[in-house]
Amino acid sequence: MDRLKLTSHIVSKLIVLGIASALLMTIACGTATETTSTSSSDTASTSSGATAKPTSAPAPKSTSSGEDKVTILVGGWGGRFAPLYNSGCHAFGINHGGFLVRSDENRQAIPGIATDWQVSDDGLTWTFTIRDNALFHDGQPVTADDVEFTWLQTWGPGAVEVATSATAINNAKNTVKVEKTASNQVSVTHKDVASGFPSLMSDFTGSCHGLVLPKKFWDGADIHDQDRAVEYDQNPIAAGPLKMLDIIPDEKMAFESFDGYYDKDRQIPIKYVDLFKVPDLATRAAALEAGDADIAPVSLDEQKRIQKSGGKLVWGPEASYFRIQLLGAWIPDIPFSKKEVRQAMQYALDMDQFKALYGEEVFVPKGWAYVTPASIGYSKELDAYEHNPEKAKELLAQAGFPNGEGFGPLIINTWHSQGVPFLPESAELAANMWREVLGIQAEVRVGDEVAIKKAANSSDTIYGQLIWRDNEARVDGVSITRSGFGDPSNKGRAHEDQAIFDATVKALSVIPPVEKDQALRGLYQTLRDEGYRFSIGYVNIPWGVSSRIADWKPQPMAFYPSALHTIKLK
Amino acid sequence: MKRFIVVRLAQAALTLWLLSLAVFLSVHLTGDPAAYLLGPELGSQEYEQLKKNLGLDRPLIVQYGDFMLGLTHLDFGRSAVKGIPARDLLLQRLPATLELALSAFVLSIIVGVPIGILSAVKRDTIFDHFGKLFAVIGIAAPSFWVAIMGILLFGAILGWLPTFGRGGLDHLILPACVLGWASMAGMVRLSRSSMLEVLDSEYVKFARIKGLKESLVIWKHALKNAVIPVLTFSGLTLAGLLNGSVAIEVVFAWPGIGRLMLTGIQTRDFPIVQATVLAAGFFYIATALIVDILYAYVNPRIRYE
Repeated sequence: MDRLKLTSHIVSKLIVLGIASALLMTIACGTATETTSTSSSDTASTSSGATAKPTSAPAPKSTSSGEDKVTILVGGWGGRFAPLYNSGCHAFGINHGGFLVRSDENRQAIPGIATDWQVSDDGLTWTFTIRDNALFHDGQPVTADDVEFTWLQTWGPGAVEVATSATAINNAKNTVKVEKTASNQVSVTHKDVASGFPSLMSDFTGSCHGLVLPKKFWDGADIHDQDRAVEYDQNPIAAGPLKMLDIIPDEKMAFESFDGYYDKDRQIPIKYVDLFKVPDLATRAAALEAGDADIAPVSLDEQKRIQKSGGKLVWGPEASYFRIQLLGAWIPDIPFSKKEVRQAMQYALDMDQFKALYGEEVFVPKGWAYVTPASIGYSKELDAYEHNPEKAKELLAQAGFPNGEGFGPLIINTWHSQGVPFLPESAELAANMWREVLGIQAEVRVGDEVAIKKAANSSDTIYGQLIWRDNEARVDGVSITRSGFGDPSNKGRAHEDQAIFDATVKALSVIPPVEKDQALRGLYQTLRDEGYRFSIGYVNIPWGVSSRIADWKPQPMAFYPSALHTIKLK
Repeated sequence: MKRFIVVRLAQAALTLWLLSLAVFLSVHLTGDPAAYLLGPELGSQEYEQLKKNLGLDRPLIVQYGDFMLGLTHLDFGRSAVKGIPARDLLLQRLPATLELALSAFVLSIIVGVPIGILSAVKRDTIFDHFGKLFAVIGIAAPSFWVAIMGILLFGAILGWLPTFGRGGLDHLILPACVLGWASMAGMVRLSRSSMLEVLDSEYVKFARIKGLKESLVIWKHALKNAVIPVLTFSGLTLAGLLNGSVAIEVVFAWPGIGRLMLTGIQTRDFPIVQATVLAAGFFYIATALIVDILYAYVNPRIRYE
């Protein structure tokens, strides 16, 4: 009897276990996403607005967005609106703020709140002419007084000591004076030539310094009053195509299309836009599938599921690039202080393996560092080195490290990034190639982004190591070139070669657009040859869009929701 | 009893102080918000200036002293990234956390305890097996996985519930159930084992021998004693829920304290980290103290010397 009871007990336990496993498997398998193959027929080109071909889909579910509302999800945002304090403003600033300079679908500069901008003969004073038909969201006109106030707050006296925007600190240190020179003109005079200033005032630079604040909001308060600035963050009156209706910090921003926007061609055709912060990728994809959202950054893994619900992928081209920093590369003891080593490491990399990791729709091996096809100064000569293991070995041997002997360990620091997927995996891929081709003992350490950045910027403890990271692509690389190659005092600089410092300063002082493009082109080709930053390539980001969206053409170099005026609903 | 309360309050103060010191040191030694705020085109000069502007260039002991002084009037400082006082951010998030935590707590009691009791009363039947399975899954399955599966099933596939965010009752159901499942599992197991113990006791056997109805035996005589351990457990459960589940809040994009803490840690926003961690510590200590006091009143056999 005891044996019977025991058997019965065991059998019942097994039945329970079986039911539990079946339940779990049903849920997991029934909702499992399928990894898309890299040779999918849904190949997208790298031009803006390319879409993945949808497969046949069931009728789309009704959404809570409503016919006149679009719901956009993003991973995060900084949350401050005044340029003096903001960081991470891209998700909302681009559509909400009114910029002095804007960009068209090819990221070429076009007039914004400023109708034109001129520089003095010595290159030190920029003068912006303000249009007379721009309005703030409260209906008040945008005037030169507002621009002057914004610039004084951001770069004027006292700004350096209160700013929490590093860009504001950098520019404030270079600002001699800001003044209103005519009823509709404002000038800023710099200590050193700032050829990238119009770019800084544009919507294609992520710092949002081109925004205009309403001076009246600060009436009765000091220009740097912190409480007033926080009040502004809770009721940000701006001059862009979207007007803020409601803001729940770190959760939601609700906008309405602004009827008084001066550029009717770029007015947003949807009446309401809701922006939500949803950090989890799987949740964003599920929201698209459920119809709770219309636009959200996703990954290729979610493509089939999104298509099944009637949606599709839309590509945001050239959104992020691979940024490889060789720390302390000027110190003679460090192997990559030698140009042959830096070049050898690049010849050892096989871009086909990166394409296999990411998919051809996502990864494109073009460009050098932050200079991608849409950037000023790009040329095909900047693209990734050809994969040539023999040449790589030869160069390494010439440098005195045949087959990696005597090279020592190479530590590659990286982290999990929101911008570029599989960043640690791509670092491991590179490390593997260096191990196999060059015999270097490369080791990848996946750590914390802030801790690694702190170590790189404040000390020499990780000199001799490498940082493998991503960064947002940029149209105008002037400021990042200056800090990496033109500033001898910067701990995170790339080199210590006086000739390169001089060449950098010279090229960055060229202002007229055509000459600037040529000057930067030449400089970048030199820097690529030197190898202090690597030519890897850039990443297109896949945006998932719901079945309600007939068309949307995001701008290149935008890892945030851009060009909302191109949205067409079905 | 009074002496007990005074001693416990003193212990609580000491614990909170040690907690604040541990958090302060661990966060300061692993990075700073200036490193987060610095962009790639900027260098060490801007970094040093940012640190100065944020008061991070001062010696650690000075920074800690300032922080402790602020604590005396519940001022944790301003968020380095958002500029808003950390206390205000905490208070903004508190309703969302309270809503989710209390909902999960109520669910864990009204679902977990009855299942546990039923499981004990109907031992070794299908009800018992279901109860045990329910508890095992609730304890073993990672909450973030359950959350994602729940969103996919009930949000994306069936379309019954919203997939993210805070709103009406429909927004609350899924996160509360997911968050509460682990607590429910604990309630099930605890109330089951407690009930089994009570059902085997002599006075229950005597009640049955007397001829009392089974329902009376269970609900009037056995339940009162079986529920005592559940009371203790539920207090700590509530404290844990009040601290905000980071994973649940991130997956559901629920704007609670847990998500605020995570963002603070990622950006090394010291005032935010310190405010949220100290709030978490306070919840635990306060709840444990209340439970201990209630326990003494509920169970007269317990006396605190």
